[in-house]
Amino acid sequence: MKLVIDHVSRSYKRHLAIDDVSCELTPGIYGLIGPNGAGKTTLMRMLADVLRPSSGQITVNGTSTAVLGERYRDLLGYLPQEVGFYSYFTGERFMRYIASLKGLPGRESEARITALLRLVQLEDQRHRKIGHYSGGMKRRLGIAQALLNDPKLLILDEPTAGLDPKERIRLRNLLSDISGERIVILSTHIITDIEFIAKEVLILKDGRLVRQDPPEQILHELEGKVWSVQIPAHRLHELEKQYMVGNIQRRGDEALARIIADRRPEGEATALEPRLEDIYLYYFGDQPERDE
Amino acid sequence: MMNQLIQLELYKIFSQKVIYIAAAVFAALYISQFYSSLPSAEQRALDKAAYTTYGGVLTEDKLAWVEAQYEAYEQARLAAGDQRLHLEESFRAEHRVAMDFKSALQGRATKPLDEHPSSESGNRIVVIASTGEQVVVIQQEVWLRILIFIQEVGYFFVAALVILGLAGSYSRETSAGMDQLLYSSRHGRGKGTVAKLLAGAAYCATIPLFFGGLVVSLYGVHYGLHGWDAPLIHYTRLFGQTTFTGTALHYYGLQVLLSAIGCIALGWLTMLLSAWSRNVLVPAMIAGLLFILPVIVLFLSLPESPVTWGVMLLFRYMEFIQANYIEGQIPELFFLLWGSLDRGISAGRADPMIMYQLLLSLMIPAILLYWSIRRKQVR
Ligand SMILES: Nc1ncnc2c1ncn2[C@@H]1O[C@H](COP(=O)(O)OP(=O)(O)OP(=O)(O)O)[C@@H](O)[C@H]1O
Ligand SMILES: [Mg+2]
Repeated sequence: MKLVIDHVSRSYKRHLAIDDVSCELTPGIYGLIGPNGAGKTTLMRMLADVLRPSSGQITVNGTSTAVLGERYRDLLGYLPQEVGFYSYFTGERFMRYIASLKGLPGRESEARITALLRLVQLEDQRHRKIGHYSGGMKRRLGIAQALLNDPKLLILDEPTAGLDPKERIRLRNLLSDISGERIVILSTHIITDIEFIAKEVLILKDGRLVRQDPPEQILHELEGKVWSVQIPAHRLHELEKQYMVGNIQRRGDEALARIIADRRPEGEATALEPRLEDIYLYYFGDQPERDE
Repeated sequence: MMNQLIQLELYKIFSQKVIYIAAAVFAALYISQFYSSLPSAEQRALDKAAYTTYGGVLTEDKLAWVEAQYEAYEQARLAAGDQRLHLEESFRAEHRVAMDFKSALQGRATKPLDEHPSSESGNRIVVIASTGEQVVVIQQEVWLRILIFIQEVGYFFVAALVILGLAGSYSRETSAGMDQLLYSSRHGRGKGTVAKLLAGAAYCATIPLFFGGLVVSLYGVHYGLHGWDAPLIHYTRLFGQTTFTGTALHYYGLQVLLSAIGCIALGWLTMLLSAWSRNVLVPAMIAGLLFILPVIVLFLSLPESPVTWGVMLLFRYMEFIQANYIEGQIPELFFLLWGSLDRGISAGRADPMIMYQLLLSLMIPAILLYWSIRRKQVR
């Protein structure tokens, strides 16, 4: 399956949230990153067929999603960034509701619901009302519902938000297990979520797609640009003026700062192995969120 | 799949506590009003006895009794003079039967008399006999009340329940962010809408059933339901002129059915409004306003103009819900269905407008809703 985003723009009133984005996606995991307001949710909503592009089109194997309509949505699994659910539904009833919306035949859906609830470790909670779930449990229910129809295109908008580290790793493993023949797009602010599993990283900045490359390639370009600098703590602000500064560790009067610089900075600097987290700093001049 | 979808949509509607609270309050109001105007048990027994003894088919003998009863009543009235009239309760009950005969005669006689101009008005029975008709008097209170059950309970309550139950049908999805899951799922924009419409319709239909059942139960317990199989035309106080040839029960069934359809029309309008707003109050208020718009126009006695005419013609939900327009006014359209059951019921004067309008009021919001959900985007 080939999904093509073809010169897609989307504006809200006068504000351009997605600005002429084009890319091609084939089976595999794509990590969509970008700071708050970059347009990740907007792009994913268009992919999920709940928002129409102001211009441009999205095609699947050459046919526009607008033409495919129901047939396109049949391929979709979507976890929105913010879902309310129905607090008075039990988890199981909610899954049943989504299954019928997705057109799953009755008998098949019961088996799938059980399997998926087990997969996201909600099996023992299936008869409890969603209103009594914790935030992470709701998130997991959201992931389970997205997988109900065995989607060929899985769109997950910040699926790891609110998950504890253990669940986050489980999700990562799950995604890499199932990604074989399907396209998975997931947005996140936590780079480690996609570090080892993403086939490509899509970097969105102010509504524009600034990079679409395999993580190794992006990392390769950062080689020789990541440094650890040791300076007196009171001189940190000078450093911040000159360079993009990431993590800072203080040790008494001294500070150890991770910075991005094209050339070896002055002072006591050691070259560091670039990590995927550094691309956040490199592209957005800011730090990503961290787990732990 | 579709069945489950409808079931779950129904579950959503019926999980709203507010409808139970409202239904309980409205029912309580009606019940208290019912009991506050309920005659004593003796009174009810006397009435029933008077109708069983003196009511029935009018014969020469009965006519004589009626005249005698009137005579006696006149005497009593004259004797009382300026004083307040004191009568025995049983006498009063008999007088009511006599009055019913009189008015039935007057009501019936006019038509045949037109066709028999030579007849004297004194020979009513002869005239009636010659047309093959009978004058029958039965106790009317109970079934008359039951037949106008919507007015008994108050159409405002019925409409309020419809609106309360359905104002959230889309607004609540939008405000919860559930619309994203709805519209990104395969059937969310097509069959999902149909399921919502059908579940909404089923909910609406339960409301006249609920109130209709309540009224029947109350009267059934305190009066008994005899008279259900009498032809509607015997309920002369309201239906003396009717061309409806079914029984009171037929009419009741038809009225519940049409009232349900009226409720569905209002319900679907509410759902349409709900699809356009994320705040539940907005569709509720607008639907309520559209519902009472004709009353406002009448109340303010606005001058006749295309606008006021438009309002009166477009928003006839009140009439739809009361469904009292059926009386002799069911156009052929509806009778294709009813007649095919071979009940031998026929309709005379027809007001085709209102039935066609009812159909349009059903179809237009449903179609608009379907299309707007097809094209809907999240915000
Ligand atoms: N419904 C809306 N109406 C108006 N503007 C909007 C709307 N939704 C998003 N925007 C704007 O579009 C831009 C992109 O928003 P979007 O939600 O896509 O960002 P995001 O990358 O998902 O951010 P986050 O990381 O915070 O989830 C933002 O500037 C936002 O203010
Ligand atoms: Mg977002």
